[in-house]
Amino acid sequence: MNVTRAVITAAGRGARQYPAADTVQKAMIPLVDRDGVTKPVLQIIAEEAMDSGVEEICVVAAPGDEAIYRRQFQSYGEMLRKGFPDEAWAHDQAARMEELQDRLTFAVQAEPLGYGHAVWCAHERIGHEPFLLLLGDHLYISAEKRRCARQVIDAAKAKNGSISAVQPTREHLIHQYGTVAGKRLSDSPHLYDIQEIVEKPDPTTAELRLTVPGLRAGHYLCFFGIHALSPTIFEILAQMMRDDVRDQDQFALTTALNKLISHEAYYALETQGIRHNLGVKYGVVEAQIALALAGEGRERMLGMLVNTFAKLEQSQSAERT
Amino acid sequence: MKPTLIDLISSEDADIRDQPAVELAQSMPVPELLIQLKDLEEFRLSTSNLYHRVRAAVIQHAVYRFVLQESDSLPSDGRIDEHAYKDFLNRRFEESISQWLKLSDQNGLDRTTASCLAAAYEQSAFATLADQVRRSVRQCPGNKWMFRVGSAEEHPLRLSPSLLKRDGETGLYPIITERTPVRMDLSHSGWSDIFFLGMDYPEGARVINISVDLGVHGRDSSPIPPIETRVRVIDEPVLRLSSVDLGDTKDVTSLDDLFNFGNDYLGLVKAGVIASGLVPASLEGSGESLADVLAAVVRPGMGLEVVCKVNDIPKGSRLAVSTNLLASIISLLMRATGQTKALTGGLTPEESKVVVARAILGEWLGGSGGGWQDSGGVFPGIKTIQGAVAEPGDPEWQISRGRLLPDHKLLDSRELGEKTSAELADKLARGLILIHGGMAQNVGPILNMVTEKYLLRGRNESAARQESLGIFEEIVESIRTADVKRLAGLTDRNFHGPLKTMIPWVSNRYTETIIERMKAKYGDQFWGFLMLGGMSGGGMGLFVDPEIGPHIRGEVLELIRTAKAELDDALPFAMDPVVYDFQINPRGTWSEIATGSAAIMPESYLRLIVSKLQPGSGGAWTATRRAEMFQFATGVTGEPSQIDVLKTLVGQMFPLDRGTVRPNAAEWELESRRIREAYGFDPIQHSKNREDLLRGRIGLARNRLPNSVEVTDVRDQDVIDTRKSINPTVTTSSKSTYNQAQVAVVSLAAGVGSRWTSGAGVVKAVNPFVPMGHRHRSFLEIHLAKTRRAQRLSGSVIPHLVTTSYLTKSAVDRHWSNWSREWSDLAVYLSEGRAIGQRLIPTRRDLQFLWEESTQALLDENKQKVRDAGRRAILDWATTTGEASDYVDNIASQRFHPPGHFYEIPNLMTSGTLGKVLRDHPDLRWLMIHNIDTLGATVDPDMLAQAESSGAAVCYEVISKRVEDHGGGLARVGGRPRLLEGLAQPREETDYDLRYYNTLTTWLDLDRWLAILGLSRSDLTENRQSRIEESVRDLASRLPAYVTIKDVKRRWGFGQEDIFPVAQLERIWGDLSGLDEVDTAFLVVDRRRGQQLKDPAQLDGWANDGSLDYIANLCDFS
Repeated sequence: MNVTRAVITAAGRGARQYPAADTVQKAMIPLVDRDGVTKPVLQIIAEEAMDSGVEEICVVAAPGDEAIYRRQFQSYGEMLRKGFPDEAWAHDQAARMEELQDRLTFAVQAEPLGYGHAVWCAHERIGHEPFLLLLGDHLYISAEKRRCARQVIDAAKAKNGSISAVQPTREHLIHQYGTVAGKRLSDSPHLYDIQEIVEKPDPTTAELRLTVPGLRAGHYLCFFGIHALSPTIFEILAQMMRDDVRDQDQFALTTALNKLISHEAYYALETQGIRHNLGVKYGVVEAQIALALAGEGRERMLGMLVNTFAKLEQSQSAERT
Repeated sequence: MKPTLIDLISSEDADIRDQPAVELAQSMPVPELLIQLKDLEEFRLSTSNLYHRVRAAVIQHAVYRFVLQESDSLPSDGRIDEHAYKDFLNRRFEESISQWLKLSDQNGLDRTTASCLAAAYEQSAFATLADQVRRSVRQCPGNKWMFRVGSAEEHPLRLSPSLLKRDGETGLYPIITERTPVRMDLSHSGWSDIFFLGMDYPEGARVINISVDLGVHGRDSSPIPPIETRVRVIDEPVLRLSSVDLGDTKDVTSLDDLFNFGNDYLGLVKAGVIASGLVPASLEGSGESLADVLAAVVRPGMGLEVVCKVNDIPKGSRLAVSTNLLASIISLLMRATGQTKALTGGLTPEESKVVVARAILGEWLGGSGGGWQDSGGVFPGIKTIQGAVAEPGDPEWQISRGRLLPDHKLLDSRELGEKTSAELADKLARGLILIHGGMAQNVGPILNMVTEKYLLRGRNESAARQESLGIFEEIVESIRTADVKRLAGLTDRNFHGPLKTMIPWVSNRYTETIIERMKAKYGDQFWGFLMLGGMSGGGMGLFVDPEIGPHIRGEVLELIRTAKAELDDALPFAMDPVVYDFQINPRGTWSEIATGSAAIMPESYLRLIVSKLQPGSGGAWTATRRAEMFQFATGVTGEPSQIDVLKTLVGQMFPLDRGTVRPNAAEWELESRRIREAYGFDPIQHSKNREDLLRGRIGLARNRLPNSVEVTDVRDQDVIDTRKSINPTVTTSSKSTYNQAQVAVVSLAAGVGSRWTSGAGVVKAVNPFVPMGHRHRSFLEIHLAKTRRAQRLSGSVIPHLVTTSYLTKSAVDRHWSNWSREWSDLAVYLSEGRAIGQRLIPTRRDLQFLWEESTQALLDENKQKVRDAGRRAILDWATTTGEASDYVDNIASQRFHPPGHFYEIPNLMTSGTLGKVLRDHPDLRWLMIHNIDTLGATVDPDMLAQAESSGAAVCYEVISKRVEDHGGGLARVGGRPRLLEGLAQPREETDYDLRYYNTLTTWLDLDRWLAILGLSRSDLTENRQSRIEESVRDLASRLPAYVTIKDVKRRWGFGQEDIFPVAQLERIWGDLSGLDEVDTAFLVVDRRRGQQLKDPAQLDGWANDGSLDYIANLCDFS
């Protein structure tokens, strides 16, 4: 399964980043990337895809957001050129944003009807092609040379089937994620044959149904936020919408993925890397620190952190005495 | 070739494995047996198979207890090793076993040590089993995560969002209500739901279990699921736990309090909260705050309220009310925290199984126990529950053959067919009369007996077990054909056949009386008896023709009430009998959600919280609590239950004094006054005692002799060993005495025997505890039967005197008037007690001394926790009620106590009874005095000969010590052999040096005794009251008065009982041996003659070690 297209879902408003997210699209929050350049989140995610071999990216956005995204990319590029007329890196970055814009297409999710619905909204743009699915508010830092997305795309190619990236996750966190029950493939230690997926399970259900042999006690395979999916998923989603199969009023992707298990080859890949959810409290800060530590800003970030701790400690001990 | 003991465990051949272990051991010479025991011990220690280890320990227990402890080829007398025994008390069973084995290797095995080893192996077997159940329950899928959560931050549960949606109009949060039926076991498949039996032999562990709704006949309009539990969000960071039936409500604010199962009546609710995962078990002792846990699960600053109610179904119904309540709370809170698919409606089979596993966990946490079928109410309708073979992946795999958790299979209308299913439900509802007989007993000892017998494969018990399994097949068949008459016949056959054969103690005179009278009254229309739960007397079933069933419930209730009234003081009743209306519940546990103005708690709960309200404190309530009261008030239509809430509210605002509030208080007070006057209560001495107790001049610590007193074991020449051959010349002379009717028997029956029924106020003398001579016989009847036999052998009249006290007189009188015709050939004299003491609230000092300074047996980890918490609560109770103040919060008879058995013989004199006996039998020279529970004491001419030839005025019988005989015995104190009470020993260690234990059986030479008192026969025959009283007082003043702590039961609610310790002052008969002027001798007698039955848990061993047959041979019931 050759993956050259990607879908990034970015229709959510990010209630938890309020009020910042009210004026700035969540996907446009700027962060300093590993290369030291400040970029909007969406660009960092898109580069994850492009560096992994993706040629075309479809962003699923809320109605009216396309224009805003495009305008923001535009003005950001222009400001870079104007603000740093003599800086090569600024021109470089502006050019990358232009290229990105060219590769981006937008699909509109008219109503917030769930993640499954958001994915389905991209079906016309993607057509009958396999695609990489990424979240608009998650960043990934790989623990190996290949990007996280690349690991997934490679696995999809090798196994000629759909792949969901997963990571062993401690049980007190599983209520936030889709969780997978599977059996490790004997020939590829990081791949699992998926048997069942439960969306945000409670620990009791997890223990009864989602225990995976070989994992540490109290750990489960939770979705990492990256999937490489065959276009069959669009058919399943379409059928779900025709039959109005909802889970708490939403068309859930997990329901569709559960169906995919019985349709065709579908595996989970234990991805080597770390995911950062920007949608939770301090998520942006944590992601920023992680990006800096993983890139050329490492020394500076470490110094900054140590400095901050030291100052804090000093002022507190002064207070105590 | 004969198999070895190890073969019984490890042989591949089932015929060998199923051979009766005790019989095999009995067939071996002792030396060979000892060698085999050594091999068996090596096998036990080396095997990794749990089942083999447990079976080895049980066989070792049985061989030491029933073969070696009773073997004449071993020395009878020995000492109980202090270190080994202390290890035993502290539950270090393996250490104690190895020490005792080492000692017997060094010194040779004696029967005392055999008894110690028997006890240690038994405990070790049960501890191993309990550990395994605990381990399995922790490893059940769905439970494991609860033992991994390390902090509030790691809490993986979140409250269902729909419970957090507060209604805009009323300001109320929604309430989920879980309604759960109880379970009825229709088959009684020989206690096969005991965990271990299912884990060892899953194929044989089967029951038919029905979920039923209940109503109390005459009180409730129709049967409903008796258990209701509710949960709701509250805007305070606490867990507000309430039990409507127990009238207790509490804001739990800390994890320490939540994990404390003994400081209130809410232990079971707390266990439910923990087992549901809301507060995971691993957070115990983590130092986390409960508010943080609630913040993680609910929201910061918020909490939950859990309210439960069992519709006043009395305790001891044998319908597993408490386990199903636990299951209901667990299910409710699992729903609330998103651990079930649906918030409302039923549970999926998978979820129900998790609830079952967690109910077992909850029971373990709360220190209670139950079988694996008990939470059957969670499932719908009728089902078979069956043991399951452990498979790879199960936590029990390669540890035991069966799984801890059984399989449930529904016998619903799909399985039985619509028509049969409906017919069965109808016939059962009409034809099965469910009753609660009113007895509430601890079935724990019975369950242990069953496990042991099962493992030992006794011939009769194994056959009974097979028969019971066969009956089970037929029961299933009768259910499939809705043939209730056949079903009734089968359950009846099961009870009278296999169940009674396995455990004779499941029946009692009460049950037998009810069955007899049902048969007599309804003839062929009485179809049979159904025993529920561990033993009969509480919840029971009576099958009648469904045609008459609905019409005779009132009559049946009357019949049971009459039977109960006849035995009220003889058996431990906790309440009056009730008849239930019931129906099969086809849904199992079921939940609903109430929102808006409907989201208010039931009136019974509102009444409870209002009753705890301090005047004016309602204003401090949070907005939601006030909103609920407002909603309630606006909805009042005048229903009686609503008016009750309002009345309680008024009562709280304008409180009356306590005496008027408690309805029985005035009545109790009057009765107490009557008792005080009738029995010569001495108020001046009493206040002096109180003063002494408060100031510490008397107390448990002061009971002890000074440390400087030298206490050693007696020398051989200090005693007369009657077990050795008897001098023929002595025998001849005393036999003549005997023939001349110079002996009278005195049965001491002034005490109630508080250990026998845990202080229930039952009169032990008239407690019919053993079937003998065609029916259940009481202690007193057995003593009379022995006198009859002795009388017939001697050919002359042996007067039999029975002492009583204010506590026992009316009961003994009443039962005697029923029996007197049967015993008209005997000269029986009942004597009235003449002294009385008022019980006192113990001092903290004494309680602490009792619990901390004296050696006590440690309990199983969680039971010990519950006990410790209970003790802390008792200490607080003693302080707040007032140390050394009169104990008055109970019925009149429980407020007083007889002042010790020293007074029983003086009472015979002051009451004039002995005078009368002397007038009737002027040749009387000897009294043989014995305790009510010394069943072997009989007028034995050889024994009398020994007493006579000793030349002593008072001749005590002592026995060789066994493990259960601790606390006192025969000792040399300061060079003088005398009986020394355990509480008087200067050091606890002294006890371990003593070989002989006091039986209290005494031969009293009447003339020498009178001489000690300075009295003559004519003082008695002419009843010179003041002279007698003066001399008794004089003698009593020379004896020490001991402070003792006894347990009394206080009953309340529906079958609920609390146990409180009270302090009392007693003088002890054995202390006469310490007086210089009393010439004493000590006869060492055979144990069977001298052993006492103190605890019902001893019964089975007593019946199986030959003691019962020994006693039966002494009796004549013809």
